[in-house]
Amino acid sequence: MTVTIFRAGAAGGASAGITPVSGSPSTPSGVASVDFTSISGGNDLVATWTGVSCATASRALMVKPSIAGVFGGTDILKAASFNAAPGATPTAHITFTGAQSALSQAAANTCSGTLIIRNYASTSAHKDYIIYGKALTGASEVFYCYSGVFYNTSAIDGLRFFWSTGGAEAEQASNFDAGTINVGTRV
Amino acid sequence: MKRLIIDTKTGEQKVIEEEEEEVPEDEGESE
Repeated sequence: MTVTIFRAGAAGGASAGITPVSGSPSTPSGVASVDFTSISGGNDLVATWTGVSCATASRALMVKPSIAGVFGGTDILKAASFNAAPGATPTAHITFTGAQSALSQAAANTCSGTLIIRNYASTSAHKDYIIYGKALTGASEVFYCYSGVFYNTSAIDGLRFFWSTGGAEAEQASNFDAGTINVGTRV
Repeated sequence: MKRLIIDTKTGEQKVIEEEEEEVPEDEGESE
């Protein structure tokens, strides 16, 4: 068995074995979404985000892929949320991976995380992913990790980072106001 | 709504502005 150890990227820099795409890192501010388009090369698509924050309260950071040049409306990855009630037990927060409610956010709240999509350009239908990280909600840290599979016979060729409420897919006109997003590929 | 578009092949970056639409705030998730 071969075990590959992957070290997530630090803010503003690339990690070993990862080739940043042109335009990465990005430090978005004053825009509601960030689209990385025309991604190609390597086998795996790797994104990391650190210190990312929204100027509007009650928002969750989301990521969705572009498939065959189109940002679809259904393939959504929940990247982080800002839950109310800092100090609540981790158990209460963990439920956000299945359901989100009562989101809240203050200026100091940020989120960080990592997304890996394996064989993202594959046209053999299955492209599995894992996403993990944390959101800072006041005095609390919310950790999350989950995985899944995209099922599509076209390649993934882009990533859109945007804000939503409740963890659903409707994009909100809410702007980034801090943070760094890295996108790269690895063999 | 302003979107930052990054072409990862050329590195070109541009901000486009879309007309504001009535986007309903999601009322939680229905998984």
